[in-house]
Amino acid sequence: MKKLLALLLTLVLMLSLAACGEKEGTGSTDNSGGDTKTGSTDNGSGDAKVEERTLNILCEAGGPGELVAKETAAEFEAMHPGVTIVVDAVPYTGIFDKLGTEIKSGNIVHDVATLDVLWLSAFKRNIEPLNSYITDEMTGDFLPTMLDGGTLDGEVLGMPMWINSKVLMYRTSYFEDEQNKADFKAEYGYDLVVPTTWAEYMDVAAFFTDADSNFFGTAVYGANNGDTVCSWLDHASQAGAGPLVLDGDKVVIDEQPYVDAINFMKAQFDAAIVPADSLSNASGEVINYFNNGQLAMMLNWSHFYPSAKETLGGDVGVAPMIGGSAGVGATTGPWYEVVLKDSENKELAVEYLKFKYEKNGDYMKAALKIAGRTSVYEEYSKIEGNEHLKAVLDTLGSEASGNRPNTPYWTEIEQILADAIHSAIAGKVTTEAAMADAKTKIEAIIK
Amino acid sequence: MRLVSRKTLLLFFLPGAIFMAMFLIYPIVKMAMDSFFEFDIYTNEKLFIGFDNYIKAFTDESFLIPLKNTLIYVVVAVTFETIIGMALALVLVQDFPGSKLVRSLMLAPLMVAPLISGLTWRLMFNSNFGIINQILRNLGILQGTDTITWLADKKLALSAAIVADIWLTVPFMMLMFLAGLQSIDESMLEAAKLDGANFFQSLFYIKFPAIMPVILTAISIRMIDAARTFDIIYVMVDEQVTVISTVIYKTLVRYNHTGYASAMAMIFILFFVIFTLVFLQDMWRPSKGGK
Repeated sequence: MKKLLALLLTLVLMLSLAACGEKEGTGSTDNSGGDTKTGSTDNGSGDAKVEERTLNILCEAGGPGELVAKETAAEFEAMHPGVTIVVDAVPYTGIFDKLGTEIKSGNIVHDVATLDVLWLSAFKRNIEPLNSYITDEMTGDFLPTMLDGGTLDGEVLGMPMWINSKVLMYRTSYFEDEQNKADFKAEYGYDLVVPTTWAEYMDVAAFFTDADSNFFGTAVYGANNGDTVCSWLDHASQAGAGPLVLDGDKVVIDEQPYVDAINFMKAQFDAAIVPADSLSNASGEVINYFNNGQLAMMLNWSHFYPSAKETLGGDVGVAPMIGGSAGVGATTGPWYEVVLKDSENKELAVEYLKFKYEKNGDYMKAALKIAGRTSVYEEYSKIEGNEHLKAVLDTLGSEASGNRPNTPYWTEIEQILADAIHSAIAGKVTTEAAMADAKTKIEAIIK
Repeated sequence: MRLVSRKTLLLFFLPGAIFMAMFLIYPIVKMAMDSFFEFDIYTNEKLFIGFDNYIKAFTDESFLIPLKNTLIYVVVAVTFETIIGMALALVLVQDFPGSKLVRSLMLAPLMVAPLISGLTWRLMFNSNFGIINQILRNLGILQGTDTITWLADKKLALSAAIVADIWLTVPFMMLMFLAGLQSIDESMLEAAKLDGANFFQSLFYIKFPAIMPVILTAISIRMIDAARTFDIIYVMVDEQVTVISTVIYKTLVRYNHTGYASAMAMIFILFFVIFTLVFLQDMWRPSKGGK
């Protein structure tokens, strides 16, 4: 009898707790999880009911993705009553790590993620194709290489956020100085101009270098990381490489354009026309040198232009990327917003992507001042201070410009390439040996 | 008659057992099983490959180089930490004006997170504006601040990380040794002094033997701690140097090789288990004289 009573009491207690839980869950919004809330809430008027849902957005902390997502959240929420936007901002590599772990665990928390083009192939199977949601008119406004980069096996995986490329930035006062012009002509036999070719670039950099004053003609990327790989691919595409790194299942990095590209970087290092610590320099260090007034030129991501111009009192000019034997070329850096295939709010997430596509101009107002639509680029390039946009458009429009290969192994391949390029520039191994060794390792990975 | 019944004991044990089973035993068993498979990078489907992942680990530089780096890191860092920690403890065990303040200040690095320490040292070792090269130049050791690029060379980068680790951990060693030295019976030292023992004789024949269990405990804790170091290496020199913990992380999370990463982690765990069984068990056995 006692046991029966205890059982009944336990049952009553459990039912009470369950009822309480249900009551508390009604209309609540869980900001930590990714589940759609099943409850409903009063919209304020007292009669109409709206479904409460949370849309979780994964983006890079401190980047324009976070900024624009937060700025536009209220507007989207107003357009979709009951919807709450939760912006989960993590550091750059944290996006890949977090999303990868989420997918492996099978517990999809985020509905939308902002992804670097490099990661699309790794997450391809978990991204909702957008082909049925986007129109030709929309894709027609994607900036060059944006559609290619975001399309895998015919499936458009991402909506463009922004695209970027490296461009040439230089100190205008050095190029306009009459004495410099005369001295340069006397030494090199032609006029001092903003360089457009490898040969001119080397001459101008050598001319401006004054190592005793810690002032250099330019900077080269030698750090053992992806920035250096990207820079190397810029030069490889200028030398005629393409497709980059992988041609189908064939690794092509030992071909002449790739060797020429390293040798071009190494020549700058050996000629001491770049800072002595170039082997630890990537884009962040290079912009520091430039903003400190220690460089006459640099090849760097275009979004650094506005801040550099402001820091150096307007004494900064910008031009398209330099060209090699195949002309101007650059490796592009597009970012996309994608919808996770297993999101419980897929339709809403697609709506959000369309909304953000319309808001693409907002990225121009954010820190990087770059966007993903041609019309936005063209509109904002007319505004003073956005001169870098024209340089990017010209660079992207070049046939030699393109994306890095779409392979899920890119993160691993990139590390091998970074090691090889770093070692070759440092002179620890010959360029040919470095490329041959890297090729063997990459073949083993993709086998 | 038992004071507490077996059933009660089991009930007390149960929460801990459930926790251990869920968060320790199950993950290790899962990891051990995963280590015998290769996972498809797209579908995550498994293919049984036997001991291939283990064979790869012991024949491929992707594991052997981080293993070598880890061993260098552990041996060099712990050696310096022991020597410097002991030297500081021997100084601070003396009572001199302000000794308590100095002791407190010396413990400051213990309050800094390894991640923050790594980031700070990364800036300090920067070849363009870092304070290390600036000091070396001011001392006339370097010609220019960018003569040595600490973080751009694999060997120098490992050395730089070791320096950061030493700075961070010397206070721990000092604290352990200080506690040991303070527990030595003063009468033994006075007797030795009366017998004419000099500083070194007193040090090697009385102090060190007396605090040997403390020394061995501190060294063993630090060896395990240094072997699994992640934060400092990851934020400071990851581009140049990989150690076992960082390579396991990258292989699993970045490169998606779940099976290979599991095999490396199993080897790592087995090493620690063996180390603990052989070293710590032997050291902590009270029946062994002096230990």
